[in-house]
Amino acid sequence: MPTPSDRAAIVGAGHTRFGVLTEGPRELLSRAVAGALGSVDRGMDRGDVEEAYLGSLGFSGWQLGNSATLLAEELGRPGVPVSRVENACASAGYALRAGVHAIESGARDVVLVVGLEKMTDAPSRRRRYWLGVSGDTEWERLAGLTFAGVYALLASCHMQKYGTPREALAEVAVKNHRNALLNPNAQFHKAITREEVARAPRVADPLGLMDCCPVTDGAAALLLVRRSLAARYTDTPVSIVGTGAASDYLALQERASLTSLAATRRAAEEAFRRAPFDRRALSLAELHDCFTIAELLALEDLGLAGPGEAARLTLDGGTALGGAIPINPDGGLKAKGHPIGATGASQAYEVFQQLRGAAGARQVPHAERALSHNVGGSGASATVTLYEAG
Amino acid sequence: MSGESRPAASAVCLPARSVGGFRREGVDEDSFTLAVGASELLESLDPGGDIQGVHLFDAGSGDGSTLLSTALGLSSVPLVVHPDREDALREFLDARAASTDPPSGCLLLFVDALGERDPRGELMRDSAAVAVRLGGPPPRAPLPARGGPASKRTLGGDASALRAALRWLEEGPSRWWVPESHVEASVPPSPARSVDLGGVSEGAYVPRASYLQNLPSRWRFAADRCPACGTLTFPRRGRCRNCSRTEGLATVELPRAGGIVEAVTTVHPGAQPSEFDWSVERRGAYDVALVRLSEGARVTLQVTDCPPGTLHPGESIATVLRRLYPMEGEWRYGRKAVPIALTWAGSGSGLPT
Repeated sequence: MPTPSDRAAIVGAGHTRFGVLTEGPRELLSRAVAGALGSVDRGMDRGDVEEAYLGSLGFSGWQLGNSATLLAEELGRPGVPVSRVENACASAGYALRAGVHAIESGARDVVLVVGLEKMTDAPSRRRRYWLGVSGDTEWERLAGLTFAGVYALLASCHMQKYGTPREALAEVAVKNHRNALLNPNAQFHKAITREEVARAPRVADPLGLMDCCPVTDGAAALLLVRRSLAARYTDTPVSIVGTGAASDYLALQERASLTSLAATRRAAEEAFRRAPFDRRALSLAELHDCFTIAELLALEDLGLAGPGEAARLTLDGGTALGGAIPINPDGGLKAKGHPIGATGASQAYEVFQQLRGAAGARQVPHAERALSHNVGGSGASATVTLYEAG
Repeated sequence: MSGESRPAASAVCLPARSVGGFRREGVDEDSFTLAVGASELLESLDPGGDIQGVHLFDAGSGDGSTLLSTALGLSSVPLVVHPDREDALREFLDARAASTDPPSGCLLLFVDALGERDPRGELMRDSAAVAVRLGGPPPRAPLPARGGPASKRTLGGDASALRAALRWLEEGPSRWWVPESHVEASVPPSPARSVDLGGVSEGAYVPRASYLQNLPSRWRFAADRCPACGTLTFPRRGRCRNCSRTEGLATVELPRAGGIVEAVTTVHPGAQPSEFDWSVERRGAYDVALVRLSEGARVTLQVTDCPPGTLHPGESIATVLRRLYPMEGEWRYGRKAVPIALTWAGSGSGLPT
């Protein structure tokens, strides 16, 4: 394990608006990277970046192969080694992990990690293709399921086993929409009620339209440096003190449990094993709420709630801003938006703001330690990252 | 073929243990249909014993024998492919006549894949299958009609081979059960064919070769049992999912009736994968269930033959072979779930559509 001074620390982060944007992939990359460089307190020369990782599913096939090269171009440094990291919705979580490993291994001192997805420029038929290709194709998708259907099956199992009420799913959406009101980058700035969630058009029972994250364009960028070099760039870095990742079978039908994502549980175990603190020390967490049920599963799999207890914690306001453990203060995937490959980097961006006290109206008071959790597909891959101010 | 109304697919269900027939009419059928039909037929006859031989007339794509072997699990059964239908029928009938003292439960199967193509490459004529059971267990209850009003019809249309075979059976030695009438359950005709079977797939892609390779798992729920650790691997992938052993895996078939629903969802229009657009346009929402077939093996199945929302966790289902999705010029077939209350005598296969 790396010594604290050999760990990676975030010294700058950039974020585009999330939503239905006119910008194309190149402009989104450009804005996120410029934002990250511009956010470094003492400045950073583009030439300092030794290697870069791009998290992206494939932005509708616009540049299917070699797409990380766009990043080098936008960085103005063709020549820098770049690679795309793809694990569906967890792409940027894994890109961040790759960046952390590059630093912890001693290979690199300064690394750029970017997440990008451009989704709204494709016609809906093509979009449904891209949204559904990250699960098991032959046995799950071609049995008639997109991800809404797959998460609906998980919700069905959770409700059966634990009696999880429909209102708890709705409350996840209500809470995340409320948080997004305070996030200028969020796709939705609209408060909703549990009744509106319940009345929304049905998608895949028990999930309705307002249980689902939207289709989103956006990008986020992170500048990682060796912690011992952080003072060159800022007095207030955010250290990455633990990372964990795990995989599972692609298809639900082959998994041991249908009420829990084993990849999340294993990733969390690894991350906390490396970190100098435990779950009780967390000030906030960014969880992968692609569907409302996913936030409840994550709360339980990460040990923030006992098995079957996430619904109660949520309905009691424990996950709201001001609650025992604020979850998704930026609005989460549900209301901030979910540009697939950008989400993991966007979560780290939010943690960077929160742990530096720069999150504005949605600031969690005295935030010092945080967790981000990024899931690929229906849980075939997951990352958990732990952060500490300083 | 656009604008042309498509005749009803129909299953010929004979209330007998000795004989059954399956026939498809229509212009968009192919070798898959043939194999699916033959497989359905055998399931409806509940073959407890061995299939003694198969005579296949296939003027279609030439895939018939491979698909049929796979569908029926015929690796060790003689399957004779005849390019000429009269030869095929004659040999079938000769074989039937020669089987004067057959082992209990054995079956003779005649399959007619008429498969003639028009100049555009469309398959023009029917597929038909006739199975003859020689002895065997008592008959099941008659197959009820589902999917539409039942009607009685005599055999007709272009299925002349099927008709000829059945006529022969009726005229055969009296110790063979002879049906007095043919009860035919018909399903409503599909709307005029408008499904784009596609050129290059716009959706998720399963290559034909992969689909064919996985047919035993998809059609017969073939799984591998590891001789070392006992783990069941389904779908099969040529190695044990637990210990990665590749040698000595024993193929077992998981039950195709009697699965338990672990979870089910209704997929509403708009939430379907693009490969299912045609289905939603015609029939609207559908259910998908996660079904436990046996300890350690589940399968995800579309639910059919009942309104969405009918099936609930904990309930039992049977399975039927049905058209799943179009891909790159052809229909892909596989199993769908049917609530067990709606199936024939609480088990078995139900009607092909």
